[in-house]
Amino acid sequence: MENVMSVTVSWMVSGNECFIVVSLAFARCLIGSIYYKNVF
Amino acid sequence: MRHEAKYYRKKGNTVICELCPNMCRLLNGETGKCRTRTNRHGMLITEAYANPCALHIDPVEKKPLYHFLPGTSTLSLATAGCNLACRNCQNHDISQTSPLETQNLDLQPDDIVVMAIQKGCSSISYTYTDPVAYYEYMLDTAQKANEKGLKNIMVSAGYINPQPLDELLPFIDAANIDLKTFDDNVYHELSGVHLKPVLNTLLKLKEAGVWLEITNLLVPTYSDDVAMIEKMLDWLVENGFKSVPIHYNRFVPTYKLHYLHSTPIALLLQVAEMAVSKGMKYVYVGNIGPNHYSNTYCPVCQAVLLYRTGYSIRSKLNNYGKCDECNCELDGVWK
Repeated sequence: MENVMSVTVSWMVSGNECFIVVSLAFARCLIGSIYYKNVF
Repeated sequence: MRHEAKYYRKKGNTVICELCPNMCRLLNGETGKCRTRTNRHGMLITEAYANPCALHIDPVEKKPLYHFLPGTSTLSLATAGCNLACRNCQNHDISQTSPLETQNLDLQPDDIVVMAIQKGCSSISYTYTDPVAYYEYMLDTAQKANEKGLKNIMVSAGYINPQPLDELLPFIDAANIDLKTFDDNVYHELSGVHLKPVLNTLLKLKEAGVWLEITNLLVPTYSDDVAMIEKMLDWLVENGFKSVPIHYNRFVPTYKLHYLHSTPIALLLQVAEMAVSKGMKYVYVGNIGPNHYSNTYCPVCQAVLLYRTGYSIRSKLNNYGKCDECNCELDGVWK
């Protein structure tokens, strides 16, 4: 199912996989939330 | 927000929910597997109505839908709850809990429609958790959106009974259905549900003319068996799904399957090549960054028609969804 948090970027660091959940689309989510507060 | 649910019947001192194939039989006070539908003194009520816990503006490509109004924004929403219990759920914090446990907004169907229009969205997407868990909210919102000329998109595992699906279909313009595996035992082990009803949903959506795309997440040791994937492809080809875009997505460790490795990229590409060789016209590989299978190619002259980098696109399709090079018509909804 579609990830609610948007893009997942992963890379290898010393054999341990690290994950950072980001980015543009998530920023748009935040913008959407702010708009929501402004509108209603 | 409590709302009487549709699709249930009383039997003795219980209520049987007939919305999805789980067919939960509930005593007074009990809640179904979806965590949204509860027997209150013989009436089935849904706790998932007008209380979304997620509300975002997404590119339609994120659903993923690659052949449906590319480059447009879609207002995407979900309530808590889900009628599946996937061991790999990346949204488990909202899917495996009740709407009574999450922080929610208060938005009636009309409010969602107004917001979508105000934000310049072409569509509303019912997504993130399985929208079957908030069926009544989805249905009412989709009806209102349809009246206002907005499109409706369902992103779902397709685990729904035929009758409620029939009532919903007239208002759904596009769907991405998660086809998790083609082995019923694995289906149940991975997600707690069964394969056959999902196949029935796919057939019904195609028959109804809903624009359909399929996602298959390759989960190592669960749904990455090449022979099983070949069986799935054979079924799709035999049942007329050659023109339905299929997205092979990379699994990344999460939730109860945090101990697994990510899907090897080589396997994803191998499976994509197999899909093409079986005759699938539009094959994509996702969750690995830009690659050969990120783009849409003309099925006749092989020209790149939609070049994708992340969620941004460059199009060589003309306004009528035809290839600029050979004028071949591409399957999809383009305006």
